Amino acid sequence: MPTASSKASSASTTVLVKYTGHRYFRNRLILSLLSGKPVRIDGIRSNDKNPGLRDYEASFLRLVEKITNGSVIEISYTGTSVLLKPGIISGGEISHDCPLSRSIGYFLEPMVAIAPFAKTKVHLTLKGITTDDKDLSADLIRTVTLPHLQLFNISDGLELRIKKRGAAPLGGGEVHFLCPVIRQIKTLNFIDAGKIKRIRGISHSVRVSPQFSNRMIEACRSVLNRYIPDIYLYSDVFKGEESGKSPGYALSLVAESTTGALHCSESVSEPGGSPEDTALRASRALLSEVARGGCVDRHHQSLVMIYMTLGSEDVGRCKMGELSPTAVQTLRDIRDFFGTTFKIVQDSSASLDDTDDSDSTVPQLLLSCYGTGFINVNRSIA
Amino acid sequence: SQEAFKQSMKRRKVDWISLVYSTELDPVEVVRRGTGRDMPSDSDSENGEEEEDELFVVKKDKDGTGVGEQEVLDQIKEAIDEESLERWEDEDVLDGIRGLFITGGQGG
Repeated sequence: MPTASSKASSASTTVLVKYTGHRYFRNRLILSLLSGKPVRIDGIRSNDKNPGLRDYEASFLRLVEKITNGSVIEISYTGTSVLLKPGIISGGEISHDCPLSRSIGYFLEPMVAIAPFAKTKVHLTLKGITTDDKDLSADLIRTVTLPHLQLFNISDGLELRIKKRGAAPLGGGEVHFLCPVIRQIKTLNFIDAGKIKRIRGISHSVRVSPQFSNRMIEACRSVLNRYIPDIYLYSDVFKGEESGKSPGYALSLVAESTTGALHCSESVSEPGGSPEDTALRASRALLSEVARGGCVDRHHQSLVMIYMTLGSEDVGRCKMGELSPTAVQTLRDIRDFFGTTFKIVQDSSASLDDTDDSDSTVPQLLLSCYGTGFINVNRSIA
Repeated sequence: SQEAFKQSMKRRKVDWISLVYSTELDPVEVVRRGTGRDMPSDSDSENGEEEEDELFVVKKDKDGTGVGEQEVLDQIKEAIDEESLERWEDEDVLDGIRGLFITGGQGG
């Protein structure tokens, strides 16, 4: 297992951080960029019939090269090991064509984590698939990921524009990501999850009947209307050039709590499926997400943890629901790169008062850590 | 039995810190132990390298999948588990989380 072999090579002896296996590839590269420690990843699918890096991973490495200055990336002949000696995150205007094997989300998720620490404002143009079933869609990144950055005081000029949509398999979408640079991020203190006060959603369709979008909205309301009246689902139909090369539709949902905690879910059209199926899947997934509790959405736990680590030299606290496996690995990787360990306390008082299904036993975890006082030294003084 | 389960959950204080930092368990296994819940299709998850005393063994990939099987992708969004969503067809379960909404009140 890749995790087992992630020997912490304790920061004092050597600065090179080593990993084995292809998993958590992006996270490890961005942690390397942020910490300035070189990383070496060996054994990338070395036992696979088709060993080595996948095209999207190679593409991600090229994107890392574009957004940084002075990075050295060495890939072995077989493609099964990668060495990254991080340069500085330079930012600026960057354009990248994403391969069709992964959607734009695959590339954008990690870029969101490092963009605020660039030298100059990031203006990243990504072309490819905007929504698929593997990575966060452009809609969710816009409506959920970016608001998470605001928790850390990154807000002015933060924007994601969806110029064109592109469904799998042919894509053809285009998004523009604009991110300001900041000197230092705020310490997070977010322990009250609040109660859900509104639900928002985007139902979009491209190259299919616009009616599909409305059918999804109706099906979604049939599940969610029972809880709160404040549900606004936006039907977003892209036409012509802006609708990409393949037909498809999807529903993304966001539940917002009184304290600003966001929970999200989405579901993408399947061949042979109906819009109603898609909408019900998204709606129920949202309920599962809400039932897990916490102040931070499961998909964004890793991002928040990384930002908490980079916070000022003070104790940051955040309440989360059940951790995702990726988040657990992120905690371990953060320790490898920054030497920061989180305190994780199971919060017994948080038993969700009157609920009586099995979800009420889902532990609420209080995560806290002492920030490293990360200061963006790259930032050009403007 | 659900009552008993709840009780056992309350008694058992999971030490997440040592689960995360002091073990070398696979993250999926960490979450499984941390929540005390059985995750589907995880019964055979092995931890650590096993002794291979056979001359030839079917090579297992590092993440437990065999050669050529569907690999575990690097992704944040998790595949929606259709089975676990079925519980939301039940009215009681639907009403169970009313308390999480502002309109829910205390009584549900």
